[in-house]
Amino acid sequence: MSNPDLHIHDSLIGECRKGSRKAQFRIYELYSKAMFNAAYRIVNNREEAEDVLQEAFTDCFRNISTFRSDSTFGAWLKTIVINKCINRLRKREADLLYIDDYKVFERPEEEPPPPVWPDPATIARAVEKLPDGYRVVLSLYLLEGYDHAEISGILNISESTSKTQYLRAKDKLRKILQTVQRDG
Amino acid sequence: MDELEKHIRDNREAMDIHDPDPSVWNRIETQLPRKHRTLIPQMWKAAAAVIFAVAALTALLRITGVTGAPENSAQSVVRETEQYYNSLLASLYSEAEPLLTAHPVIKTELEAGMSELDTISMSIREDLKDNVATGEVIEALIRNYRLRIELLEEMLSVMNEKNPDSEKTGEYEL
Repeated sequence: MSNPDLHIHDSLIGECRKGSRKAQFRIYELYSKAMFNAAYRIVNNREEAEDVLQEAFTDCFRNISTFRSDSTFGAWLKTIVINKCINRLRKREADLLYIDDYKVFERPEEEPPPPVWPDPATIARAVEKLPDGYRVVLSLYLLEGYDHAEISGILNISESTSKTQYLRAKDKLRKILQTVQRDG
Repeated sequence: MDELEKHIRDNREAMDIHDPDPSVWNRIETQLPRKHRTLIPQMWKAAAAVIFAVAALTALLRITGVTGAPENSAQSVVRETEQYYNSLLASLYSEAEPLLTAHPVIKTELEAGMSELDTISMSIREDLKDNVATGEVIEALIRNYRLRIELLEEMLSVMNEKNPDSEKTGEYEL
């Protein structure tokens, strides 16, 4: 993952380590929206995403002494969020549709792109319509910036399954978007 | 990377279309440990500084034989000062009283703090009787009143923060 903000919040994080509520709130302001959306895309439920956000930030502030600045704070926090989301999906026994049994995966033929891509909000809502397994892999890879090796570790699947799942998810997303555009 | 991937990555931030409910922060806050406060010791340090300054000035001026303003004028200033600050303190006390009932520990700390400041205040008044360096002594009296007001205001701030009905702003550190 890219790490453009490796040290930009060092002083705030230092204050959080001392227990400063003001600094904690500032960190929450800076990261809550991105973390909430990351959680929402995975659990696909507002209340659950808010529960994840609450638990993740609480854990983060309680355990901030364990954060080492060799990774970005955002990446560290996101790991906490994603792990909590995956645990919740597993608890609710979500149908993740992992297709380990695909011996030969036929890559879907890509249709020509539409002349104008839908706006990002429309795409975001289309992602929410994907089945759990597709949505999770596509979100982790395309939106959260994890590579397939990392996703295989997070989801406990093989790297090739992650790749295959991603290609199918992208194909499905493309079809949803075409339907949305066609239906206006 | 195909066109769709590129389009999504180029518009990554605009894909965050949801906002968490503001109550989430309140829920987080209730689960975090509160920072330990040391209000009273800070006030003691300030009070001790006042005592030291007054004592040193008094001693010095007695040695050098410098005397202050005429007694009548000094008494008038003291009376006006006391009236002003006593009314301010009474107003703060009336605001704090209902909260103090709900926070007996803070009430005890506040009473102890005020009692100590009373002792310092009496010592300052003794200096006034001696008619020594009246201007400086009145200034010390005012500082003493200000310390009481600060102490009350900080206690009020702590109690309002502890009060679940109070507005939460995240601005907590003293």
